[in-house]
Amino acid sequence: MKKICLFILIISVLFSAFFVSCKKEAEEKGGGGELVVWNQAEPQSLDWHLIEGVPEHRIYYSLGEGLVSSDPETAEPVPGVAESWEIDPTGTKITFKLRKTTWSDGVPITAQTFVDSWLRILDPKTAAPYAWFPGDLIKGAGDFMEGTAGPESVGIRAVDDYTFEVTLVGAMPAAVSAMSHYAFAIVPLHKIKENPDSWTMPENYVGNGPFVLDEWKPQEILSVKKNDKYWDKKNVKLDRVVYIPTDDDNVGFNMYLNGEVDWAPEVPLEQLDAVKLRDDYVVAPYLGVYYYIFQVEKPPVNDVRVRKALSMALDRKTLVEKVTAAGETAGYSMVPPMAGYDPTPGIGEDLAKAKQLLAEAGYPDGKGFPKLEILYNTSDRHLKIAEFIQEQWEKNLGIKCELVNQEWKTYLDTRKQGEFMVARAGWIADYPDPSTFLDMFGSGKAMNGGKYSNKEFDELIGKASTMKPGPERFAALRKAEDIFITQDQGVMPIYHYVSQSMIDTTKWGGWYPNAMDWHPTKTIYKK
Amino acid sequence: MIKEKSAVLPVNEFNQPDKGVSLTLDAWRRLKKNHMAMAGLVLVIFFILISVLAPVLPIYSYTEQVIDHQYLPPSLTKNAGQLYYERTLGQMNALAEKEKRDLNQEELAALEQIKYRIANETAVINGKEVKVHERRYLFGTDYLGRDMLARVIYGGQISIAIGFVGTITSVLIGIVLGAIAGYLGGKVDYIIMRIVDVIYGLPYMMLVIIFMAIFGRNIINLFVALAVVSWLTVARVVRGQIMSLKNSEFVEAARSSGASTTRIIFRHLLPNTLGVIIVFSTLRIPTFIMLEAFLSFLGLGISAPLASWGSLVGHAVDGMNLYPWRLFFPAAAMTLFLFGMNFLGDGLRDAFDPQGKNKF
Repeated sequence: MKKICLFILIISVLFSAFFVSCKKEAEEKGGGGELVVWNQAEPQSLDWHLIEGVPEHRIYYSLGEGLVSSDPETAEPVPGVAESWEIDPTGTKITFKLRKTTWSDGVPITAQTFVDSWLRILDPKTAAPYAWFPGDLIKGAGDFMEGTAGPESVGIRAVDDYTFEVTLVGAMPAAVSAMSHYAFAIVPLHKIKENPDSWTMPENYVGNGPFVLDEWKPQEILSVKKNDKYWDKKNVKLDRVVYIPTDDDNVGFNMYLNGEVDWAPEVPLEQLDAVKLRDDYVVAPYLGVYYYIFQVEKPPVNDVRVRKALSMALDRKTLVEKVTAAGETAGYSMVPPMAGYDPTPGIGEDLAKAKQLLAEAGYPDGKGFPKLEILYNTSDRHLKIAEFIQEQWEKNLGIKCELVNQEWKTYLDTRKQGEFMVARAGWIADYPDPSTFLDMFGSGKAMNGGKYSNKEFDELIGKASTMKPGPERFAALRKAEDIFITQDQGVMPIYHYVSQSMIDTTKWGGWYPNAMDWHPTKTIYKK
Repeated sequence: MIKEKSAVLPVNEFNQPDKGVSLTLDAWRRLKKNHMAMAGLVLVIFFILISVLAPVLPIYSYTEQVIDHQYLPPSLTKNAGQLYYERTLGQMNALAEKEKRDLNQEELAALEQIKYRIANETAVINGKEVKVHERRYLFGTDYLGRDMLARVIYGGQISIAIGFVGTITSVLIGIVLGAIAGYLGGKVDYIIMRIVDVIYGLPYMMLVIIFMAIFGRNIINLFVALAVVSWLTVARVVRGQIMSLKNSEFVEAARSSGASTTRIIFRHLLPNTLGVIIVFSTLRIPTFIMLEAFLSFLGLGISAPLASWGSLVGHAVDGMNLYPWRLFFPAAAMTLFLFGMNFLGDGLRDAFDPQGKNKF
């Protein structure tokens, strides 16, 4: 009896301690303006030149700032370190006027900082995963990356301390918008020189964003606090932003439901039925496309008729309504609909025609068709979509498929090397322009794992990159897309994304849904 | 007369024939008295029968997707059409309630259409035209409208197969190597046992994952990978048994009458260690099923649309608050089988244990 009493006593003490600690946490949170973000993954690095993911992008909005930042409502570029900019009449040269501002340790930021930082990301020795982005955009940068030209040939110049000039490959209309991306970030080179390996640690960290790094416990928490040296600090409302790196969708989502997290940028597929009824569920069109990529050198998908048959035999409407079910739209074009650009209609769906094409290719009713492998990265969402497509192709065309899943990094490697037949892929716009969806399929491009190659397509893309913004440029891109999708079916678009977030907008202001799903923390405030 | 008598079976003091009690028979008698173990045995046999007979049982295909029927709850009385209608109505009502309105024209029209489709829609499944909404899902359906009952049964087929095949392979390897090491001793013993030690030292799961990564993901490789890393304990156990037996009289007798080493090991020594091995194997099967479940849970197990209990549970965790049946049935099936197997294993251990032997 005594033992039982003791046991009950211990249990009750433990429980009460637990509740007390929970309560304490809640009180602390109510006090200051602290936003807790479920960030979905541990950041690869806080060195902006070594990252390639969306979770890192969210942190970049707090800790870094490039020439321009983005407007939380429209995702249009707004002044960042650059006060203003001017684009010359040819559209190929942009002159930025920089403001007088400093790093969080007081060292001034000048035009030279930009030159040095951009050369660092382009330098092959840095091995930056996103170096291709400035490399494709800035004149001479590609040659420097390949080592055929020196740094002096790159089209960036510090005219004086506070004037910075960029020469582009062509008149890219979204160039300024692209410069809010972390591939154009500046890094504190004076600090990197001191601590080349540990400069991203909280004790050494120096940044120029609205916040500075406060605490970083890998796999547990990353928090940032207000930067006193930030040029616009009076407009920064939050005291702290906390990033939780949990990569399990359910854990993150449940943390949101329990109020431990204020903003969840993703909703688990299976929770949609319940989530759709909530007021804090925000859905917005998102410039992104989900597609299956064909390895066009591997039989049987080296035959364009097979590729078309596969694409025509998939019921996308049922897929987006029943499987993904968040309001995505069935997609037949590589480029999602965007202002001023009318994407290709694609070849649509037609079961009879699909069967006919397959028969013409030598596989009537799928007879003799080799086992088709579908590669995807391990995730419930991709698995469900793949299972649906597998069943559709088997039922409609008599084709047997095998699903192969790989962990994210292995999958990326396999895809880049073209060691697959059909692979799942998704592409999110880096800047709001159709070319971001088409550029990467040029012959021999690093991202073109499907080995698609068509001279006419390459020429049109090349031509468009030097053209002035306007309808003619869009016409050229449209023609390229027609060739790529409608004529050659280099990939098979499936649906166009929507962004889904859980955030209580009656509690948090300054957060808006937008087509890029970019949410700078600078403007977010507690109502 | 005397000759004849010696050919007759021995009798006890009441002149009843006195049959020799073999170890196996003895164990079986004792096992029969252990009710939990017998219950376990019945359960295990039931599961195995269901799995083996799956193709001829009157169940739906485990890959057939009826996308309208996604996330239907289990029901004994209602057919799929009714559940589908209820689910859609429930969703619409909830949405209307949230927006503080009644169902609008559009939604009512959609409901009417669903009613019509439920009454009339047919589909060709396995070459037969059937009224698709009259299907019944005793265990509910999953995210693509597949029958959970069929998936649990076919999942069981794979899980149980992995349990048995994995155990048999690992036990075979373990017996052969353990027996050789134990009987021959000396250098052979030293080399084999050091190999065992080294593999023991390596992280077990890591080996399986690396193996799968190198040789590709399919069921055969999964079997092999699991077996390759799990024969170690069997080898040690068998070696120990053989070492304790190899100097006994019956081995001496066999050796002096000229039996070869192979014959001694396999005909004389191994049957005497069988008890230990059987017990060990029964306890090993659940471990394999759990391992496969763990691998499937990590996404490294079997590839879709095949299912195993582990993968079914793994995929159900996401929506377990909304669609609990997707988690419950595979988890229950797995738990029951593991219980059965463990009780049976415990019972066998007691039955084969010479220390606890009570005379009949």
